[in-house]
Amino acid sequence: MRRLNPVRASLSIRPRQRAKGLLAAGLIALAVCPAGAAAQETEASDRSRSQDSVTTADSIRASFDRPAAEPPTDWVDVVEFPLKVVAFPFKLVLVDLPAWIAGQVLVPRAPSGLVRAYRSMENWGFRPTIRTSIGPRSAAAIEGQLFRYDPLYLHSAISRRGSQRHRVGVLAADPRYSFVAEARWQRDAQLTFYGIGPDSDPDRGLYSRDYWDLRARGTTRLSRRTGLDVGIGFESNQIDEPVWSNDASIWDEFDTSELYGANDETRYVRIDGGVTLDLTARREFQDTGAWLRLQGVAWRGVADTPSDFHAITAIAQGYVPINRRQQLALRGVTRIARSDGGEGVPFFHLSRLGGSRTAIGYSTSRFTDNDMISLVAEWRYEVWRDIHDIIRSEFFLYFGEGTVQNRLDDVSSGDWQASYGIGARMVMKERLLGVAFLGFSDEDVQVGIRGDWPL
Amino acid sequence: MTTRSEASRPGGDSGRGWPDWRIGLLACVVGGCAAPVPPSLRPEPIAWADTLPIPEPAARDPLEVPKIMNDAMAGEVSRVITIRNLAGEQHEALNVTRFDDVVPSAWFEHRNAAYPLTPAQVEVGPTAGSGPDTTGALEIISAKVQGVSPGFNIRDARGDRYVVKFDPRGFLHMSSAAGVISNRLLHAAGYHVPEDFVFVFSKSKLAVAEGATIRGEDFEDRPLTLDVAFDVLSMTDTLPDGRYLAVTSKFVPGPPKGPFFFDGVREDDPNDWYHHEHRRELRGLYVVSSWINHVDMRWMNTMDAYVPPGYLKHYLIDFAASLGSGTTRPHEPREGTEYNVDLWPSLGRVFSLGFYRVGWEGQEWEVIDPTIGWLEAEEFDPEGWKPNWPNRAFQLATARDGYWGAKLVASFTDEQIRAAVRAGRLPTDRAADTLAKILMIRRDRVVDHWYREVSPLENFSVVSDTANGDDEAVSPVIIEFEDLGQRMGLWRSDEIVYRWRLEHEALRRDWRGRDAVGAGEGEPRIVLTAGDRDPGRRPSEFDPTGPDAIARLEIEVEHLTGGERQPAVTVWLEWDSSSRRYRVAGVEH
Repeated sequence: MRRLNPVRASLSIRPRQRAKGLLAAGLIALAVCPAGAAAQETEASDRSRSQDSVTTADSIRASFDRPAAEPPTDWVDVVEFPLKVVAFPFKLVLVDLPAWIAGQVLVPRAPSGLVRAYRSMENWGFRPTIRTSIGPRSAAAIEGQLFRYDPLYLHSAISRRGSQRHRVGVLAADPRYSFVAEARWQRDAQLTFYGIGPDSDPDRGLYSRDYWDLRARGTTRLSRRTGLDVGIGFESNQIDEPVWSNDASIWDEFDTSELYGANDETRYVRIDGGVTLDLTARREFQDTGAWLRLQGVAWRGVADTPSDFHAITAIAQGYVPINRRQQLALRGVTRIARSDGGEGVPFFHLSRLGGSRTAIGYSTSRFTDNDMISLVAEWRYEVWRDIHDIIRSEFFLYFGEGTVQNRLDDVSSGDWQASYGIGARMVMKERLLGVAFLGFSDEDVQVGIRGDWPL
Repeated sequence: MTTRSEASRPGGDSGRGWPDWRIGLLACVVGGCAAPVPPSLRPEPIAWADTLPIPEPAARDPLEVPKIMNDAMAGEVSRVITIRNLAGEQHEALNVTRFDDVVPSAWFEHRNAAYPLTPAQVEVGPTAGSGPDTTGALEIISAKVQGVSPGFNIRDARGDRYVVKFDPRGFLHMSSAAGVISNRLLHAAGYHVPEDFVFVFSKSKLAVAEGATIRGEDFEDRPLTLDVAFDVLSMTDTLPDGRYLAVTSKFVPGPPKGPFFFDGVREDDPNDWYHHEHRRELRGLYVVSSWINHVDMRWMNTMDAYVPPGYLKHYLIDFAASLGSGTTRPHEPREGTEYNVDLWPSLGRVFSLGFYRVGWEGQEWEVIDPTIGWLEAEEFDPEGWKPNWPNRAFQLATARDGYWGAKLVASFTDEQIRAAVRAGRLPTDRAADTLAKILMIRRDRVVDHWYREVSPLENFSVVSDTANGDDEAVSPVIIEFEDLGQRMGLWRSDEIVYRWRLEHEALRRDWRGRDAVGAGEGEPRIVLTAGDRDPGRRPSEFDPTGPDAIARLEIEVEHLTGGERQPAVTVWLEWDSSSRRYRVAGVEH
């Protein structure tokens, strides 16, 4: 291929343009280099001359006759004008505002006094936190964690709904072992109950649960993939009217004489143990393989509590990558609660279905009974990935079926509750940053956002 | 001082008061929109007009994220879902001369395409020396340890200051060579760039300048120590002799005033007249960027410097993410094909459950060489190429802008490309030869694409025009020109004809013809005759002046095989009463 100089020739036939260029250059030279400039001048005269140059340049600029700075208005502008007016608020809300917020959040800046105070507290050994969640049973909470005297810790939290949790304990951990001994008092201010069985009505009653919990728990990794945990504890439960709520209570909605634990204080000694088998590997933002957990807990009534029971929970999660962008995630959960004598299982320790982990299209704890099973399949797919492979966003479609029954053996085809929805996840290489979902079911629509932004 | 609002800015947005475009809109609605004006009757851009003195502007450091989000989301929506786009009524660049070119300015100077450089000149590029002076200590004056590309700023024995950046581990030479080679090519093309060098130094030469500090993540300034520099050095490989290789960029003269954007104007620069998205040199930069695969061509890699005698000069800086280098890793097939945040493919994936695939997905690729990285050669698509982030000037580029940019690319000979590659100091001849050949292939693909988007005819002249003299007969008007398609070997003269139409309303001429030019017949030409059409009025009957003197000649390249016709070039002819002949008054591709 031959080379050529296409511009040179065209330059040669532009005398008027060149003349104009020379004229401008002359004017510019006049403006920039006034005659008689002395070699050494004071700073003041430099400034004065500079100002003169700018003033002269302004007059030169004002004399220019050159093409318009922007395209002239045409029929498209006329037609588009009303559309731009209509689109303006959408752009403001959907783009400008999020962009401004993101800019403010992500811009590197010197830490404010508040941030410095927070970091000082954290360096000293106290970490205050404001925690929020949006979704089923959403609430905001403030927390404080004192860890200055490690391994001793003190933790307190209170939510907008009036729930509280106060813990004190010791925690010792290394990569293979961990041990925690803790005393806790907790108030769940507005728990929901919809009745027993898969056919319970959507009318709910609220209640609060105050409980003491003394526990000791140890975990160990038997191998790279296997973990074992055992624990022993004591709990004392008191059920009461919901806190800070005028909604119907369980005493308004249900015959609580049928609900063991609703009207009596219950105390239990608790022994639990579990084994976890982690056969997953994470690569390219995706898990591959399976994760299994089997846990058993036995409660034995003490003092005036004539109730013994146990519960077994099994969780199986599988991740089937289709390719580096698409994946099928499967999750099966079952919990079986059984009476071992006396009054059996108190209603607040029954198995529950509904919420952000099982049957997402239903309210939290929508269904309650001895046994629960939930099966969910989720189609995850990448829609965007950062060019540096640091972060990606996925969308997911899920479909799940689940039910509760007195005995899993008694589950019939009509008992299954279907739930489906869509969602988006923001994922980093090693962890999940946040999830937003929209869940649907026969009777409800649930929206949820939860996140964990690294600071 | 003349402010932007005080200055006359036809059709411009003053930024204060009642914007001109709204007045224009009102006028357009009330009185109807004006018809296009022939270029010969329009005012011309003025060379060096934007180098007049201005008050020193404040440095600016705009936020990156809001700009990115706005460009990637609102910018994309407003680009695609608009009546202008649907109707194909894109605005052409504004700062073009009547011959479809730009004038030299604080943005661009004619170099290789106008005045061919020697290979040695291309290799030297904008540099005036050989880089930092290593006869004395290299004093570190500041360091950047976070971010994508750590590095530090040094002062050499001469007191010159440089930015120093390093290649990622495992890819020694890759980003440094790419940075310097692209620097040379962009400079030769005509853009303002700093003096970049491939630089080799010993660790023992490093010293910390007195009083140098480093700002931590807590924004506290702490004394800078050599350990910080050594931390940066630990992120790169050494040469076999233990020395370090880096790309250095000399500080440009004058204080930096922040980046320029590829849209709007800088309000504190009275010289900044044309909205940047309508500047030909920035639109045409799309083609040059696509050639050198500079996917990071965005405002973050630009800089305005307040240079003597007191104006803002607009620089392109930091070319490490070009050619096969992605700065910290080799480029991947996605780069150059899809934006980092690309609204439309992302939506396609959302609604197709991830099954929607763009061409690069699933593409097999491997690093060409660790010193080169990866970039496309035969599969390179000059029109579909995308930078990593949307760029308003690139989005608005038309075929005319693309053709202008392609002429810059076409001006590079094989020897010049090899010279630019030499400046990158790749370690082996094989790597240098490979990269040069890829650049040649990409150049040819650029030319092949953009020269077919217009009729690439240039340098028109009226060689004979006795028709309109005193002779009562109407003789042919002969127009000679260069056919760049032929020059570049895209087609032979016996494979095409030139289809033309001359309209001169005042002389009642509407002549049409179709001239074949056989091989070996010299410069292409067309002969304008009335043929069997009305010859119109003779100028002797009616001596046209002013707008009446303007004739419009459209010429299309028509391919004999297949009948494909390339979009016409418009040649504006002006009747000159004194010489009694037409002369070429303007060209629009």
